[in-house]
Amino acid sequence: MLIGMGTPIQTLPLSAAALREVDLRGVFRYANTYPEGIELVSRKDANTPDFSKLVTHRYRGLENIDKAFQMAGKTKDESGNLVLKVVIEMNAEGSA
Amino acid sequence: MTRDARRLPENVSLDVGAILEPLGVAIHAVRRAEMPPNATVLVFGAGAVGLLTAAMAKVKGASEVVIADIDQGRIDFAVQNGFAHSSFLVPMKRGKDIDENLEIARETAAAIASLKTSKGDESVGEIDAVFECTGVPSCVQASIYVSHPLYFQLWCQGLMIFAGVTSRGLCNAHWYGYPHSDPTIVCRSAT
Repeated sequence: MLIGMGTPIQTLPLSAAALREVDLRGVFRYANTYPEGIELVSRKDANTPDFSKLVTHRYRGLENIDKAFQMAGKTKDESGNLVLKVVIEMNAEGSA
Repeated sequence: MTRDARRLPENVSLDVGAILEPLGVAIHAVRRAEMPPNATVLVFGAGAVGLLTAAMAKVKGASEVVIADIDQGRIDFAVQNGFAHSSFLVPMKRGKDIDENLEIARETAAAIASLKTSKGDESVGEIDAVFECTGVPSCVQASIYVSHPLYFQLWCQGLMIFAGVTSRGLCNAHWYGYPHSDPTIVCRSAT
């Protein structure tokens, strides 16, 4: 994912940002987030969405990795369904 | 406090375990946002990181999380599955020059501010914290215009280096990823 690194050169209304005292902050990756992440995905309450819904496509075995990555590069599959996260499952038989 | 390995609890599936990496980006972004209590939040981009960032802002107490994307299916997914409270479909408009593009960005910002909240008839108004998860210039521009004065923070991934400010107050920014850094650009007006 290259989120936020899309267009390398941008023209921005910087004076509008300065006059309105907008703070621009960069975020790159993360640090020390796994304990909080694990706690969050273990939670079951009305305010926490079901994160497993993000997995929209699934492939099995090493031989399907190309297909999986091609799918992950799309926003919709051939049936018009959303592509969000693609999971590749590995198992002893599938890794031939 | 650093540890190289974490144990996934029995009740967390491997699918959800695979989400923990992009979720880390969202957790980190919301930490850096230092949102005021009951903040209004706007997320540009309803892909995986946008959805997770919206969910994190919601979990951390944002009163209204609006998610914006050019794809109706994505914003519908976000609201139906509880990742955001409400949504905005970004119009696919493109101007012929920078002035027209900035005008379009101002229109987008005004349209978002006039949205009704999910809780009632009041409009969302200017936004306390904007999370920009697209990198698309028109969205970054609209992020500045829709931000509430004093509180708003615009979050971007990557590093911005300002290459020069023109007489019109516009700035060409060179924007690229820089590993292990969290650059911050803080603008303060002279008043």
